Amino acid sequence: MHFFALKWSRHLLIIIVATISVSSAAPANAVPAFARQTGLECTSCHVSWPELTPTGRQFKLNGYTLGERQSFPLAGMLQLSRTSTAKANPANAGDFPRDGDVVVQQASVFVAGKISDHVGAFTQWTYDGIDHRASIDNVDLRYANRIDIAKQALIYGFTLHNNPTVQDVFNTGPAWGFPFGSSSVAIAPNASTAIESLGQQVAGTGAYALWANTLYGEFSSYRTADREFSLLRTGTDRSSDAALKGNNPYLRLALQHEWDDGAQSAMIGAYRLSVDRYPDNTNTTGPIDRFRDVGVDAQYQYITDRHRISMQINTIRETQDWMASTQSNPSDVLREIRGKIGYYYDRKYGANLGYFSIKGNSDATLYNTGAADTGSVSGSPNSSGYILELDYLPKRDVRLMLQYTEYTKFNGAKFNYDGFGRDARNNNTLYLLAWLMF
Amino acid sequence: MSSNFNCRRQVLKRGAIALLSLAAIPIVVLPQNAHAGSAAKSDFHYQNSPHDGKHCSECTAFLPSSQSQNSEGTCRIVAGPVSPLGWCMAFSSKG
Repeated sequence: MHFFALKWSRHLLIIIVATISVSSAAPANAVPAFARQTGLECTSCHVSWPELTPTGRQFKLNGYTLGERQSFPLAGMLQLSRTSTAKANPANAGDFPRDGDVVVQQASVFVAGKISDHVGAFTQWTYDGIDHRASIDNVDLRYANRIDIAKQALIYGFTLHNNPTVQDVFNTGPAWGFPFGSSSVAIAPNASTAIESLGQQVAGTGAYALWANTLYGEFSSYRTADREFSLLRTGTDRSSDAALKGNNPYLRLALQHEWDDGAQSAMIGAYRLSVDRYPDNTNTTGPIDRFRDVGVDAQYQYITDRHRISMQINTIRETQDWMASTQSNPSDVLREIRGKIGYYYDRKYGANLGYFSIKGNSDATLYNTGAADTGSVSGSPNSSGYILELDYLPKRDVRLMLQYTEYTKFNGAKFNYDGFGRDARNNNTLYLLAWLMF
Repeated sequence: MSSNFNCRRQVLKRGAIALLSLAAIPIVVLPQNAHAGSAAKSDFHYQNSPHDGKHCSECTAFLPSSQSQNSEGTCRIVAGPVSPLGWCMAFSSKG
């Protein structure tokens, strides 16, 4: 116990010293590209980054074009982290890579900001310190404009992006939802929906509009990011990238309201994504598997300089029709729910509590891989748990995060879920992250 | 090994070229445009009076008039003339 505490203290010290060193080494004016462009401090657009405030949502809807165009719209990001799994399995060390080590989780370069009066970009290139691989990350290129109709502003625009929901302005969907930072080495439940599994593999083209700062609508279409769109998946692992058939529609509607001079805001929305996916990405002919995701989400924010409260909830129901793959069932269903409530004091000290649950019908072929640690002896995708996160932002561009994930169920059971005696709680994770933007 | 290394170099090279090309567009192709913002005042809850003692002349986004301190200026965020005594929800203190 003492040894464990000493080891954690040492690693905590390493991360803090490294954080302060890197932060101090950056020039005084080294702030992210968007902040340089607008002149605003980070917390004008973010509750705590990357979660957007109403100002941040407006900035994004206006195509990242507000403010003064920069000659070099560059920014950087560094994530140093340490993951500690409650009970790693030494017999399967590959399932717990770098567990207990301080690692450079990610290092990113952004080209982000205003390109012209109506065109802006958010592009990210990331080095993965675990896989030692560099590849394209999130991309969202936009054209945006505004017209006034009946004395009400209509913002409209077009987007080209490479990750479903990365273009969304609310922090409910998979791309920008809670947790905003998480371990890339911890074991994760083996079931996930299509909408959260296509990042950096697809090209999304869409049109959106916000009328009277109230009614938001978007229609996008996703296709495989190949040929003229191949830049959107540069450097990714082509052997596992998704291959989609044709164009796959995404529809998004949301109603939002801001009051109290923008200090309070609320949103309720829904979205739908249909995906036809080839089971073998090297053979893009023949039958496909069909995924239909329907989501309902809501968000509330109370934002002042001193107190910030933010809540999100998102549910997804996915139907999976196995028209090409051979699974135990001809079709399966997944139901996912994620919720979070967070509070920040003085824009510096934060606490977030999240809940997650994914459930569905059992499918032995799909989920019972027979593997220790990651398998599901019941063939059930059911997993659930809580996330408690503490945040400290000593500077506006430095974030220290301590996050604890507790599983109440993992891959179908609380106890012995893999048939090799492993319990859900063995995957509980303590995660320490130093997150720097510059 | 050598083939993987070359492939990784190629990927890194392509990515670097893509990012630098995108970064270079504003410098090479497009003229420097006006600094004033283009967003609707109503979308930012702009008002012509201070809010809790905060006002535009203290905001980092405010661009003061060259004529006098009390004249209307402009803003990097919202479109149109902006009162130095005004306020909007994007307010970011110079202090």
